[in-house]
Amino acid sequence: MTLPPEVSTQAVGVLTGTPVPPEPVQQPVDRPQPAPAADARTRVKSSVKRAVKPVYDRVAPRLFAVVVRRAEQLERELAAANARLDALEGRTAAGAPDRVNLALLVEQVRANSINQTLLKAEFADVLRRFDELGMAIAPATGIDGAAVRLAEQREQISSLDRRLRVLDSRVNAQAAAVQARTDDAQAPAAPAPAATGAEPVPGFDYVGFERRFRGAPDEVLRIQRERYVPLLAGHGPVVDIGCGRGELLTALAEAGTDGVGVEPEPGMAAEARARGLTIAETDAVAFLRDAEPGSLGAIFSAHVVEHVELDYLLEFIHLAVSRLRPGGLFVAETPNPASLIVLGNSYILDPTHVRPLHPSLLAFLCENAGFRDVRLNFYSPAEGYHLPTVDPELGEVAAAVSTGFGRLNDVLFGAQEYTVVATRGPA
Amino acid sequence: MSDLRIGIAVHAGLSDELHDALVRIAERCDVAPVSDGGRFDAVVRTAESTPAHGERALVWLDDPEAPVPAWASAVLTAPRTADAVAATAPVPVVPLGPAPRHPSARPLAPFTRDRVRRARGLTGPSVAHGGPDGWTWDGADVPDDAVATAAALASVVVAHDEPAAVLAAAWAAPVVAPADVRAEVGLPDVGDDLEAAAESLLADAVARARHARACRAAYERTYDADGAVRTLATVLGVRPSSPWRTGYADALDGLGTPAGSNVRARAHDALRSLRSHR
Repeated sequence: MTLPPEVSTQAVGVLTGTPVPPEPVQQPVDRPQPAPAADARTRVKSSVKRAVKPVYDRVAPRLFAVVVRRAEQLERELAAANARLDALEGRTAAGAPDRVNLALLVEQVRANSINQTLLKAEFADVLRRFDELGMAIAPATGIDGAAVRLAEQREQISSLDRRLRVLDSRVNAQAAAVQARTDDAQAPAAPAPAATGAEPVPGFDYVGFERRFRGAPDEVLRIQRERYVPLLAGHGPVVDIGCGRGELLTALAEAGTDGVGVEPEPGMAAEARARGLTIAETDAVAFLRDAEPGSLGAIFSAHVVEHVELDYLLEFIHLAVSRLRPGGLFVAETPNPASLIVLGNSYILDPTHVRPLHPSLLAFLCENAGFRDVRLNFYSPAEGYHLPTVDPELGEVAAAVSTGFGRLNDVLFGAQEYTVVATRGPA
Repeated sequence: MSDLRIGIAVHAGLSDELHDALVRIAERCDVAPVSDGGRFDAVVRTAESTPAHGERALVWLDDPEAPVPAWASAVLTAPRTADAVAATAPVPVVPLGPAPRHPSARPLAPFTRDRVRRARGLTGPSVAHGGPDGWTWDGADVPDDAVATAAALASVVVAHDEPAAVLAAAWAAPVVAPADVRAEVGLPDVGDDLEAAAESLLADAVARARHARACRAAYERTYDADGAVRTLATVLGVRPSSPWRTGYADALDGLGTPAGSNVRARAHDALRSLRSHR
């Protein structure tokens, strides 16, 4: 067995600190020669040897030297080849981590490719089902026309509903008229009321009320211009219901959009005419009844709809749909009763308010009347009343308090007014 | 290098221990991703994956309590979990992990050590101590370039840290070490009194030989990647198990080569290029 160099004599000498002399070189040992035999065969062999030995002694060393040199050369070449193979194996082993990482990467790419193919198949299935849904809703155009088709169907349903309600109200009215005639025929005549001497009471001074409670007129006008001139510009002719002195119509005219004002109060109407504006001194429903269907670009009202009864409002919205051209805008600003500071304060302050209109209700009425696109915009939150919030980073309790106060602020002191912007759909 | 061609069917997100094991295999065999195609002697997979029909798969297990899939031909695992996995695995378990340490070390059993010490003129048993402050041989300091000699020839090695314990175990020395070092290297338990344990081993030659074999086995389990890959080749049937049945076997038999000698393995590897693949 070959022992490792770590347990060689020299290594043990290093371990024990005892120097080890180099091992002596062993000399070759001559083999003992056998004694010659005396027979004829041996004598012949000896004779041949004596004759060949000089030639052998001359040639053999040279041959042996050539062979030894060749063997040593082969040994050196073999050692060099082994060294190169060892180096090659070493480089191969050193590249092992890279080969492993490359194999892992290839497998990861393959797995991702498979996942991508599966996702594509799922997506294709979703798209197919989406197309089937679209074709079910709009057979002629597919999913691209489904939204339009659904809106058309919604308008048809709303139209049918309105017609049914009109028929129902006519039937009820006729029944009531018949009942009234029957009651008149049966009841005796009532006595005439006695004349009284009561003093006439002046009407409610709404103009004075507005001056006191609505806020600075310039500020109100500035806010109206900011909110609505960009919205209404380009949607002429604009009908401003309750236009007052016509400030908004003037601003729209400056923006290149023509319009007409509807103002039942004679003084205000006169002031507006003095600005060169076209003013109809009537109420909204009467004006729209006389207007041509599809002739108006936009109908605007600010703080009007909360002053009318429900039947009047329904007819107003119904006429608005009819009189607006396709793409025309119905814009109505009104106080927001969902903010309790409004409902309990500014709304009840005005005695001419008839009914608060919740934003969802007004949106519903517009949608039911047949408007295609109905949006709500909220303005003027009562930030001056807001409860203070607490920095949530102070802890969980602070965060909970802050969240609660936030909700209270939304409910109690939210936007004080809102605007419904409804768009008439295509014809 | 081995004849094996191993496929890799795991991808990014694998554990560091599995990556180390794959690097050990790649240092000794031909490895390629499974998607490259071709013939593979085996494919490395994790328990969650499913092998292809007819594929021989090696499953990597991190968790010793995880069940071995029925499709696994062998289990690859880290050395720290090898014993626990082998206790319940129905297939061979091959530990693979850290890079080899002391690859030139040869196991010298206690009997052989005694003979070599006598041949070198070292009288009586010798106890070597190895630790962070260096090595001693019967109390005398050992030079740094003779540390391997001390590990190879000492009757007993008292190792006070992990590097000394690993070196001594690599040389198949009977190693006694503190509990933390034993746990780190996987050495057999000898109690907390190291001097008494060393005296006990010096007095009992059979126990000393048994202990030396256990220490060497602990070393091979963790650091002998060559042996692990040879085991893998045997499990997969690529490398014939002893006795050898190839042409040079008769020649080696005639020279009296032992049946389990590494000479047979080296001869088999050297003649690899002349062998046809199955």
